[in-house]
Amino acid sequence: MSTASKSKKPLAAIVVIIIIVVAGVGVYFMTQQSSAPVSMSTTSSAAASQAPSVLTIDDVAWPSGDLNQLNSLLAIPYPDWLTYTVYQSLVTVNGSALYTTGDVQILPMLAENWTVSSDGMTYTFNLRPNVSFSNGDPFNAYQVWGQMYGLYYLSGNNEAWLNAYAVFDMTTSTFDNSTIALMTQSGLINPSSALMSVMTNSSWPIYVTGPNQIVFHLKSPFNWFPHTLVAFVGLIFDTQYLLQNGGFGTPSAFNTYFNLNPMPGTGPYVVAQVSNQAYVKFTKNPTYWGANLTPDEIQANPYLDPGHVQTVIVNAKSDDVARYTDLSSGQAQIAGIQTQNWPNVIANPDKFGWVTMPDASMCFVGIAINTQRYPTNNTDFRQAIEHAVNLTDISQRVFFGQLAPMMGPEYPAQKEFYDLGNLPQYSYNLTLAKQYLTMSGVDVSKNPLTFYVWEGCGYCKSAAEIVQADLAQIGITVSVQVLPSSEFGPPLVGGATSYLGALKVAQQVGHMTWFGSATFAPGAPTPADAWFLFVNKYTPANDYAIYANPIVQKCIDAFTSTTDTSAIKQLCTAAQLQIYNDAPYIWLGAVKLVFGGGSVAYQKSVISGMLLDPVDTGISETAIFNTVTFVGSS
Amino acid sequence: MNLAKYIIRRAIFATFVLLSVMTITFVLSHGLGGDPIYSWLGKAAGLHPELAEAYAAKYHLRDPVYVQYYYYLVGLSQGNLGYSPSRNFLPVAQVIGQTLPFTLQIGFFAILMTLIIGILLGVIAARYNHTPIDVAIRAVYMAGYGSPPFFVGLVLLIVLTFQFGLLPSGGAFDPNLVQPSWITGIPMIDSLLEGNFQYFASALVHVILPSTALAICFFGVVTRVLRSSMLEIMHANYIRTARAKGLDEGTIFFKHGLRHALMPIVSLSSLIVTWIITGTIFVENIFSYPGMGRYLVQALNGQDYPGILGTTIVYVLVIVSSTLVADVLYAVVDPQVRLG
Repeated sequence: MSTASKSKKPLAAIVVIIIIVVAGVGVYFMTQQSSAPVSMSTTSSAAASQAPSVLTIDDVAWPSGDLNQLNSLLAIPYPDWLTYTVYQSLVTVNGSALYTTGDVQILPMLAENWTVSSDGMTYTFNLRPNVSFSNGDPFNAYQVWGQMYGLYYLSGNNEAWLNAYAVFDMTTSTFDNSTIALMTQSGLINPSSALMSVMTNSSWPIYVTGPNQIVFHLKSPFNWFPHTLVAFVGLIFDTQYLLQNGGFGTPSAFNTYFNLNPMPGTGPYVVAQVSNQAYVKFTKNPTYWGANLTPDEIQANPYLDPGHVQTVIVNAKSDDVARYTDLSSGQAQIAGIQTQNWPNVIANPDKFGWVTMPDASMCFVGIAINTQRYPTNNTDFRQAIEHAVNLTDISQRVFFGQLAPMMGPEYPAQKEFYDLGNLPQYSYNLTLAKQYLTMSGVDVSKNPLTFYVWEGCGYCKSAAEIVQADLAQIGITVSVQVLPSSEFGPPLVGGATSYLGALKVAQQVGHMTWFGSATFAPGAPTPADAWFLFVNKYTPANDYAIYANPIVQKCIDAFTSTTDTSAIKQLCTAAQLQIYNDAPYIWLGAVKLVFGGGSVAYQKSVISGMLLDPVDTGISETAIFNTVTFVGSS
Repeated sequence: MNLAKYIIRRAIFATFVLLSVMTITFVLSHGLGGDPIYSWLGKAAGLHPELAEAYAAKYHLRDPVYVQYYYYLVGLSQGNLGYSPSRNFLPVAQVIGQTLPFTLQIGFFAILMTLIIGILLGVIAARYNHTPIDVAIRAVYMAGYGSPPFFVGLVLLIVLTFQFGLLPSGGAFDPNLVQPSWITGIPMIDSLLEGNFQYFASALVHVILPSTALAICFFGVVTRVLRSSMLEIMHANYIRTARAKGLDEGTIFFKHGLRHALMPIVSLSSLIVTWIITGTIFVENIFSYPGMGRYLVQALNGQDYPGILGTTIVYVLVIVSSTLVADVLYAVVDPQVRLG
């Protein structure tokens, strides 16, 4: 070979690559042009619907927990794009009421109805007949039974396996590997007599009485038990499919096959394609049991909506500019927009719509004050802090004025138990704050405070800095420290562990801590939830203030010891006053924007409405896309 | 020293580098503070303490660091990179297998663009030395080189996508298209082999922004080195001889000058690979590109030791291999190196 031809080889390779690149880009733009009208096409018939053939949604993150519903035990996947779109639960809430008036109303979903025994301890659910999972497996009581006990097994036989509610006496059951082996051998569609004898054993807390009836027997009365089944562990998957694809796994190693190969559900959509960390493509479930529901039935229970678009793509895009670009260019019809670009959204109300939570929601922001460490263990000192923080200023400067006043611990949406005694928010009153400070006897010059916030939350830091400036006005020095997620737990932050666990490290836990990583919403919409978590001596987590009190504990214990709501309220009214006086938390307010400093925005010319998750973004912060309605559609 | 001995010596050195980086990364990542089980399981660690302890025991989290390192090395010797908590305990090797091809796609195009733009502008700058063209080129590459990849990425995103709507804002391909089957594992190559040109075109368009962001940051080095090298060579004796022989200036410049001036680019290539591969960490996160850089950031945020170590090993392997290849190439073309 000549030298000349040798020297031309690399040049020729580069030329070929350039030709391929140019041709590729050309093909892309040609196909884009030809496909663009299709993806946003509208029909021209009289019953015109503006629904695009593909609905594209940009979410802010890929689900932690992937698409593996076994992780519901760990309060993930979050965001769970499969909630109600793929997986449904025995009961749900009225989404319309939740997102308009903020009322929590429980409605049937996969259960047709349920009854409760007079002692309030036995709930019998009658399941919908003729419902099947998207792969054709029948939905029945055996599947529900298998899922519930399987998750209990995966929890390491933790009594509080059901969304942190220890409502069952699990000691009477002996579910273990051998039961799973029996389930696998028998199957859950037509269970063998050996398996049936286990499943119908009424000495266990959960048992079946037939293919369409399942019974939950509680260890003590709990009026709001159905509420615990609304999300997470309550979302029903095809356990038969699970058994045929490797089973549950073990407590320290859940079956990871389902991470990217989700189990079938009964919902209106199925997962058609998954690109890890990038997107999930959904198509309509052709066998959805609710496909023929009447408009009235859907209006009464909107989460059952069969959906209005054949294909939905949910992207995970971590960059706010990228999401805003997609939304404004029409590449996405719905996108999560955060603080960075939120001003652009609200500046264009003709072009963009956005989801606003009602004043009475279950989603809030707050600051915990360490009640166990000097000087914040001093009640007068905490009261001084409460009265020195300007909540209105924080709302205006950090949350675009979209914080609804809140007086915890109860979520405002739980109206029956919210702010018992009608206590006002702590007033912003520097004179009063200084008086409390004097009464506390704390020498502020020698006792600077630490305030920990999570690094993933920009507005948390902004709000913390306002608190820092507010407290400086009464002479308190605050050091705001941003912690990476790896350190936003014990020993620096107490709320990730139990009250008793946090007590052990209380002297290292910050004097003040942002409540959770950003906004907080429940896992189960019960009125007991906030009390159980934030101020409970036996809480498994979330008592960031490391606070407990005997008067408060009486209220907490009452939730699971009596069916007498009036008695519970009476105890909780006293508890509310005690908490008000003890001031363990600064309740900044209920967030009206889903992300605190931003929300789920949509193209107003295309989208007319949507619902978000049934626990006010406690499980997912984007549209439950089967409820998305389109401009011009019936 | 012959070439084989030289290569062996460099390979031993590369292994030592790999082990050192691995050990340092292991120790540093384990010194992040806090209890990793809270990062791994989040609130669930509090909700299910038994489960948390089961995980801690399984992954030896309560053992001293050197014991954990021992278990890691034992696993590594069996080809097991561990399980990745930030990816829900998928095997790290599997996650790397899913993400590395995407990073290689960005890397390939970024290197290609860096070299093409860098060499082209280097030649022009040398040819029009000390003219306004030279000054303009210098200004451009200094601006690029002085900007971090995430900044350039954001600027490109705002200009090319937001303002002009020319290119997609993120992702690796259009989700509406059929994905290619696994042949080589690199989607763009597989799509070409399968004749799935629509996917290839889509993947190509999605790779442009992240690759361009990296190329803008790093082409300046090539331009600058090539320009200096060209100017030096154009004053060499053999060039003077060529001129004396009556060769035309174009032949002298491109055939005798450029070929030799490219020599420093060979040794620089390993550095370019290093910069670009590490640069992918930033651009992948800006453009939501599902590559290994995005995985590394997730692993760092989630105190995912196996993920951090697994990706570090791959990054070091890529960097060390490229250095090794560059060293060997240099030794092949310049015997003084291996003799020295």
